Amino acid sequence: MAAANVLELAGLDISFGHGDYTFNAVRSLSLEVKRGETVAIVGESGSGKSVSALSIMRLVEFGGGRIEGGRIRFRRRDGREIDLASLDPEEARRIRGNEIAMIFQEPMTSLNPVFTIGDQIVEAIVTHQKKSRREAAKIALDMLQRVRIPDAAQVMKRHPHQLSGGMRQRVMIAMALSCKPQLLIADEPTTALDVTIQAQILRLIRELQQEQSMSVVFITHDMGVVAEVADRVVVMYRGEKVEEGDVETVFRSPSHPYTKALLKAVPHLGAMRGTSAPAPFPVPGKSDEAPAAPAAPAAPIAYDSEPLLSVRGLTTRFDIGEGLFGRITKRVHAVEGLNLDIWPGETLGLVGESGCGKSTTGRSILRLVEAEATKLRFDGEDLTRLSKSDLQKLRRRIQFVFQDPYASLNPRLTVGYSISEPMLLHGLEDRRNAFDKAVWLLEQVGLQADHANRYPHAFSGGQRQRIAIARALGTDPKLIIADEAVSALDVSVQAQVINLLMDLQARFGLAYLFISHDMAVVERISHRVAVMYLGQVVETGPRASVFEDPRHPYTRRLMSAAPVPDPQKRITDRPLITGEVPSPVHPIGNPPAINEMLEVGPRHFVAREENGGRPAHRAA
Amino acid sequence: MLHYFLRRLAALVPVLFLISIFVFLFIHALPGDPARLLAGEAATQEEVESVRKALKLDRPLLTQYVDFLKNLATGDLGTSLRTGEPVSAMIARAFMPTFWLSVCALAWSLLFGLVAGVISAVRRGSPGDHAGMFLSVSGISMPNFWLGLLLMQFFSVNLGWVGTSGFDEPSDLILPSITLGAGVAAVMARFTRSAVIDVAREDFIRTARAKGLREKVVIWKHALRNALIPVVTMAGLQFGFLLGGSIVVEKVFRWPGLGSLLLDAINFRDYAVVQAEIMLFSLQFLLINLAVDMLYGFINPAIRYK
Repeated sequence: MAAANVLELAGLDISFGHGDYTFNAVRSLSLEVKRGETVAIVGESGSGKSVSALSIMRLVEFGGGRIEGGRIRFRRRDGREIDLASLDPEEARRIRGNEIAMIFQEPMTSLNPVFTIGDQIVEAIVTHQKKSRREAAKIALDMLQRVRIPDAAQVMKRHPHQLSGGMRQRVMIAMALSCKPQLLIADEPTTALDVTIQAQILRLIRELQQEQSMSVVFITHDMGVVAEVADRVVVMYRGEKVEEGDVETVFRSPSHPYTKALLKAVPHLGAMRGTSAPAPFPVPGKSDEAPAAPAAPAAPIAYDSEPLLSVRGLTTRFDIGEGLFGRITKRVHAVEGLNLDIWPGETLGLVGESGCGKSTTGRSILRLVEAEATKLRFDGEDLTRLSKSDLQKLRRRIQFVFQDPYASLNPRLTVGYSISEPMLLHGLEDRRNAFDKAVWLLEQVGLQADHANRYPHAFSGGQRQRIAIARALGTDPKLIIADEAVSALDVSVQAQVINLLMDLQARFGLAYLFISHDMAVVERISHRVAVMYLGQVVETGPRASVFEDPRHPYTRRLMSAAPVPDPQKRITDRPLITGEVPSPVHPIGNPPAINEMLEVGPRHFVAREENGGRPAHRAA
Repeated sequence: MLHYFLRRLAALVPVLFLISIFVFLFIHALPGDPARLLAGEAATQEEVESVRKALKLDRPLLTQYVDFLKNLATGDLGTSLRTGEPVSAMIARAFMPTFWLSVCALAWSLLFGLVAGVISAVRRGSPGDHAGMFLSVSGISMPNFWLGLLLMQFFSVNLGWVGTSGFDEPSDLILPSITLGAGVAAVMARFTRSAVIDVAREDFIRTARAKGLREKVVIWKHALRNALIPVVTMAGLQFGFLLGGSIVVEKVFRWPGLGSLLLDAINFRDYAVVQAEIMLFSLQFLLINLAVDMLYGFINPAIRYK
């Protein structure tokens, strides 16, 4: 083992299952990690990257996996070398959390909900160090301060559910680093976080890494994050390493076709500079399930005509009750006085971070949550009163595609039935015709007719999202609300689904309300963009002008926080924000002020005042 | 938290009111005439009527119900139609034997169920797990009067270790509480097992292991505490049933408790006793449910009520 190395994997084989059902998740993986170095393992779901990480921790066996062969050589704190792969489980436990620590993707569920933050960190410390609980509490407090948690002493006493996702991930990092490990394994640590929070967490990991001269194995599917953090990159594909190299080489001249395809599929913020219409992703030749991209862009949007959907003063509030009789004292102003226009055949991208009200906006339009609006026009009709038949019409002509393709299809119904159900519900077709149409729709979204008789579990995430899209198309909608519809998909699949959406838009003249947190994806697909913050739109306009000339400070912050998949554009001096985002909760009788919008360019509007009580922003 | 508790407590009043209506109507809808039963088979119709009058059962149902409610509100449970004794005294006498029986049964079955459930969950799929779950199915399916008789035959008659029936000394509790708790222990074991298996899949269990905690701590501290919510729910329901539902076991062991009292009262159409007991069972059930709900908040701070 080379002296500079902390970790060396050699010929690692990991499998799951037994006999005929054996699945080789990782095949002869070799890699090395030097002291203080960050190695990114990149790949899509199922590539074996997380399994490799879990096997370094010797956690893989708790999930039913086995290390079949190979070595995991690790240099301990005292300089001795050991082979983790063949280590006795009790010995491995002593190293776990002590000399090798790990943080996970899901900060919301990775902390035990029933114990306080302080207890959980203290537990990690007293397990591995000869410290009293009081000494351990001191260390825990110090760690919480080092991960920039404001008011750390208070946070020690809180329970996980009282903290936001970003704060919880900081707590996880504090816990992982509390025993000063030689090696930190970070498994998609920022995937579930907002971009601005992600930027802070990445910076934090980098700073702590330098302070403790620690090595980091960073597992991610996000090439933007790789470019931001990695010294070296290992690309995995179907359980095998297909490429390895320093980060600049891999990005500049990838050698393996898979790496090339992966890099091509990555949405690139700024890639659309100088164009105004959306454009499909360049998908390389072997697109087995993607239909051909539309040859010609759809007809230009007629912005002087009447919008397809026009909403004014859309407001959704959730009451918070307190006291003996549940008197309402506060409200969450999830959506406040929102105005929205969508023209036929257009894609409006609605972006913002979690909690900004973008998903609630989509649900409010179809009254999936209690909401009100001062004006609602759809397809030339005034539906403000929203009678039962109005709502029925609205729900037929506007359809939803949700984020989670696994949860949004009923596992006990065939795909064909799921697709025909909305048609039956709205009385559009009889059973036989509905099924025929379902088959036809499956073909339209790039699947096959005989898939109609199968159940959802037989399909991958991307295929399921195609099925959800087919279901949405069944009632001949004019508008589809896509709520984070591609966020849960791997990049290459994401690119295919976005291309499919564009293709369908061109063929059926659909309009989309595309709700997303991902600026680069929104840039790709949108004609116009609306940026949402604290329940209101702070900036809206044609995509080209908003992305090329963002006027609102919040829009700028979102754009600068998005990781750039180019290691040469790495930003290292980003300010580290420690606080929590302002909250949309207001006491009763004190609603937030409605933003006044100024026109700063053709159809480009910016909020005069930043909401949340910040100083006035002057548009240039 | 206190507010929530008081609100829930206040909400019990209308529920109890509804229950009182149902109880009253049900019992009067039962076939059988207490006046006839009391007057005896040989009594003439006139004698029966005079008994009815003496018991104030000749008045309209509504009047009787209002009386019942009035008395209930002042804490007066009425007098037994059969013995003329105040119902409250009869219940007070029968309450403690049943209480002890239920508590003993619940205590051992909870402890056993929890431990067996966790061990089964940890050794999922092992022969031990299969054996445990086989026992558990047996426990659920075995009628408790049969188990009671078997135990009695073996330990009291053959070995003579404990008495066969009645409640005279603490050791008399052993057989009836084993009999009563067997089904509960089996249910708790199954419930705990599946709750622990569910929790073991959670991300925070992986975190606990990633910290390097000993497997014992991971399971008995991190997993079990989270698995307790469904387990406590089930335990509360079972306890409610135990308090009210030990009729069969009490009969088998001739236990001087509420179950025996209720059975006799129903046989004699002793309206006042039946009504009072069912109201008591309902109140117990509601209070236990409330206690369980409050317990959730202590187990899992994320569901602490306002």
